[in-house]
Amino acid sequence: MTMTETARSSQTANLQHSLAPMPHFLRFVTPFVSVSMDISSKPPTSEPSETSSADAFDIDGVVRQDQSALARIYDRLGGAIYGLSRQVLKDDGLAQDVTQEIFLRLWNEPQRFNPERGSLRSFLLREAHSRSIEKVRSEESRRQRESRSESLDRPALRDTEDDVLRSLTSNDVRNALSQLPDGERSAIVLAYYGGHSYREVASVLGTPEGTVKSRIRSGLSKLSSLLNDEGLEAKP
Amino acid sequence: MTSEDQTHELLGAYVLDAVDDIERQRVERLLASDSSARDEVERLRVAADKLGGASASVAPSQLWESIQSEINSALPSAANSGVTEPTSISSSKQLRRSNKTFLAAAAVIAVFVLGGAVFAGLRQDAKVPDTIAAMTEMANDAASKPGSRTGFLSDPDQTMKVQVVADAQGHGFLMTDPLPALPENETYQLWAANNGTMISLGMLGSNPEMSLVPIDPSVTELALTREPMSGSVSPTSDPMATGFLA
Repeated sequence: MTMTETARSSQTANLQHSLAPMPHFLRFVTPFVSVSMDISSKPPTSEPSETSSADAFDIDGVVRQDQSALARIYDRLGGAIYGLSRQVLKDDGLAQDVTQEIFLRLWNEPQRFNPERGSLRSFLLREAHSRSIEKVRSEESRRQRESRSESLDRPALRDTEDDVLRSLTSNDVRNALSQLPDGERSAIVLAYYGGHSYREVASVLGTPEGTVKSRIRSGLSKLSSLLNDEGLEAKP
Repeated sequence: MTSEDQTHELLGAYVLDAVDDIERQRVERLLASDSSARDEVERLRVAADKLGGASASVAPSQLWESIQSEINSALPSAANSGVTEPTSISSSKQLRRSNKTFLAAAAVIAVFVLGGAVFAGLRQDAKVPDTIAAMTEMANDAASKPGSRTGFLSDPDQTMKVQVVADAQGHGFLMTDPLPALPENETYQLWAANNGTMISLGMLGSNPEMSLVPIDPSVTELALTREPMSGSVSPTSDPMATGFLA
């Protein structure tokens, strides 16, 4: 049971209790569209367009240090942030650490989010990815990764890429990735989900660095068109 | 290939966090001066954002509790930092910290005008009258604009009265005819109601006189409850006052 599921069940009971002396509260004419969302029933990859008004509302709440606002944001986006961190870090504990850091930072510095520069979802996912990359590239991780990279031959690399693609919860993103040329897809998957720099990707793939840079750039451009043109969102 | 061309080639890797610090600085210098590069980065970020959201999974059940615990453990330290009365500006840690100097009316207005729904519950203080006057002026101004709505929250005995003005942009002004002061570990919390669901609109502190809160234009019914200082996800007590906006 998620946090809001728990909250919601108690909320229902509380409402029945608290509204009993105020029966007029049960009568509504205008739907409460922007903030009355059945959040916990949504999949963890709820679409940005659906959450934008709720994001604005809840960020206001976080600014006022309203924990219930942060809880709603967590319910909408916590799974995506945790999932991305785990994908990059390959470690549940570290992924939890990153997720916690991201939400505590949002709580302490909500003004860092500028809605004019994108959705809250994008903002937090970028933060989570960057923080995960920092951890991946720490010295200890680097040593471990170098050790892994040395033993990573092409068939193993293919397995790693396939594992990532299989683990994606968005069919649309997986399908879009599958439409890319192999070299572009491998470079993007290793860089983004593997946490590798483009130089490391070049080394692992045995491909010139310049080629990897170009493939990442062109592959991302194609992905952007594919996902936009088809009206695709991060649906599970 | 020029140096600028080489930097352009890095845009994709930059978007994926796959560049080193020196390269990141090169790209950001380019972005500062090249609008086409900025446009490209924004377009590439669309794809990166989709990649980011494609690994969602269910977070461990204890993770939220851990986050909440961290937040709550930080609250006493703020309260012990010389600020013993969190009643002046809400329960916000940030706002509590700024209680030492108190918010000037201009700052409140500036933040509110910028769209940040800032709450200001006010205590007796030398600067309060100015602040109240400024906020009252804002509320009156809002009330006179097309699309604004007004209403009152009151209890069945009419002993409490909270005047509410909500403008078409979602700014809400609550002017209280002083509410009973709550213990310092409690706060008033404002709720919007819809079809049996109560949605928090924010905490007002334990001794509010005037507040700025976001009130969506679709909100028609409001309720006020008393809650623990950290606020509640759902009401834990009967509404102390209720009312409509029209």
